[in-house]
Amino acid sequence: MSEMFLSVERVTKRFRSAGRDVTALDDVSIAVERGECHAIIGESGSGKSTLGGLILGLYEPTSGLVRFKGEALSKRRPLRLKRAIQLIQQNPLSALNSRRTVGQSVRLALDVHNIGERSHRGALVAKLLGEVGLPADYAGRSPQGLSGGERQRIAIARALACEPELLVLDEPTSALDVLVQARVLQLLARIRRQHGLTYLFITHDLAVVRGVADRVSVFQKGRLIETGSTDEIFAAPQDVYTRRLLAAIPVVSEEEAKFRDRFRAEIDVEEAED
Amino acid sequence: MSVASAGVVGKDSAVVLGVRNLRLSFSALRGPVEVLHGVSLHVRRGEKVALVGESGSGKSTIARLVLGLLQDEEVAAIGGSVRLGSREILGDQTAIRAARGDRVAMIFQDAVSAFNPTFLIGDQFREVLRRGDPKISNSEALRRARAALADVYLHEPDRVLGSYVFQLSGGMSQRVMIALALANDPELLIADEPGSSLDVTVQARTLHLMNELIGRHGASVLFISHNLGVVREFADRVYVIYRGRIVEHATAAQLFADPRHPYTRALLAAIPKLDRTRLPDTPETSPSFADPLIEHAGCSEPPPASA
Repeated sequence: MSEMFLSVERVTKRFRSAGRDVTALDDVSIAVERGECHAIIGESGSGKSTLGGLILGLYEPTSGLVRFKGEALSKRRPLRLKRAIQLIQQNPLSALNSRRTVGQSVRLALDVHNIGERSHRGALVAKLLGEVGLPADYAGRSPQGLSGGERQRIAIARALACEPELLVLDEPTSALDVLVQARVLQLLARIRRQHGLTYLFITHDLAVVRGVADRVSVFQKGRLIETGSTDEIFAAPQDVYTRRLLAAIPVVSEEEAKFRDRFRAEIDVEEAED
Repeated sequence: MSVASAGVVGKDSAVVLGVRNLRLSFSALRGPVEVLHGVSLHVRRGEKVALVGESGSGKSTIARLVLGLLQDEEVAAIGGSVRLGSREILGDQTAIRAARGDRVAMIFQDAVSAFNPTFLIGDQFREVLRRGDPKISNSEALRRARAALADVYLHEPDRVLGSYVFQLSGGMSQRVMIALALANDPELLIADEPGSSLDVTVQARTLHLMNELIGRHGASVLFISHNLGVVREFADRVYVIYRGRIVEHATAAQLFADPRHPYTRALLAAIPKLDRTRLPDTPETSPSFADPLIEHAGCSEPPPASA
């Protein structure tokens, strides 16, 4: 009897905004297996970040249930569940307290979750920084003097400090320059392998998804449009919206353009038939 | 080089924007910080030229200098030359102000913050149209504003003109900005990361629309972007900038088929590819990124037209 690692079961989330009810997620179900990288794709307003927030316990679903290893997740949750599910945000500067040094931020995670012997925690901080490719003397620096890529590495080190099982990555490389993005994506892939982590990878970038994800769920306006293995979705997207997303991507080579223009052609046919 | 370019330069090779050896440094506590190390580029009539680079490369700074937006900074030391047509404008704020919003217009990344939040869109339209024609009547301004909005496929022009910018969606405000920028038929449009804060499907539509309108208005474009994919779809010619220096200059076709500078190659290699299931390689920053300019055949600036 194997239970699902993470399951989102018929979740609906409504927010009240400017006197109106806004349905951010509409009867969404997703299953994520242990160890996989599951991409959540969508444009702004698709509900993809709301989904991440529900899993992290930022809000309570209006209806439905989120389960982590069989256990129902609510907003109020024990420390061990908070520790097991960690977040990497798009903008690492807002994720790091600028009044703490890098070392203090990482150390705090160790202290809160009581990880390692107190006397060893300094060394553990240095080890974590090393793991994300930063020199140990970064522990004494302020996040403000660092580049976007370095800050994102620190956010990753702090998440790793908690010895998590699931990382919710919300557009983790969208604010980075392309060379930096490539390095951070490689780092995330290595860490997942080495620590046996499960990723919920929220992004709008389908080219990134192709390189990182095992499975993909496509969201539009709060609805789950389609879900499948990355290979299936890129070989034969079932929904016209997914094809539209693929067709809209600017590409940099002839081969890539050929790949994409297949979807453009399909859309043209569909529109001609309408 | 000049022999090769002779075939490419068409009859109408007039240079609309000519930037020569543009230098900029800021004085900081520890001494001057060099931002631009002698940048030269040109845009010919009817051309769409891209300036592509990462954050901090100086690409937006060049746009700000062309528009005269940095010249009043006391800590900025500026050298070189910027010509609009045959007129030198780098040290001539009066000339820049006269050209701005009329002969030269700009499209910004964030359309919402480019508008004044406290004025109706219609009022801002009228003001821009007055830059082109100080004697324009209110009814004529309204007529032209409606027509301009129809051009960007906004089908309820009166609702848009009667709105504040916060009442429009991101894609709509981007379209309104395009309509506004082209309202006076500028010779040169500077587009700084247009659409890059929009969703991909909206961005694709926005760029398509911009392309169509530029063709219709016959404007030349300096297109500033960090996104090589967008540049490939949009530009005729490309400059790649790295830390305040142009490192490669080619037609878009040449650049993407045969990137030659180590920095350009690293950038292209780092982009995740739609048709590849493997993550891109992670090139390390290399001293070769600062190698001298590589200019492809047929791209150099035509000699100034002699009378």
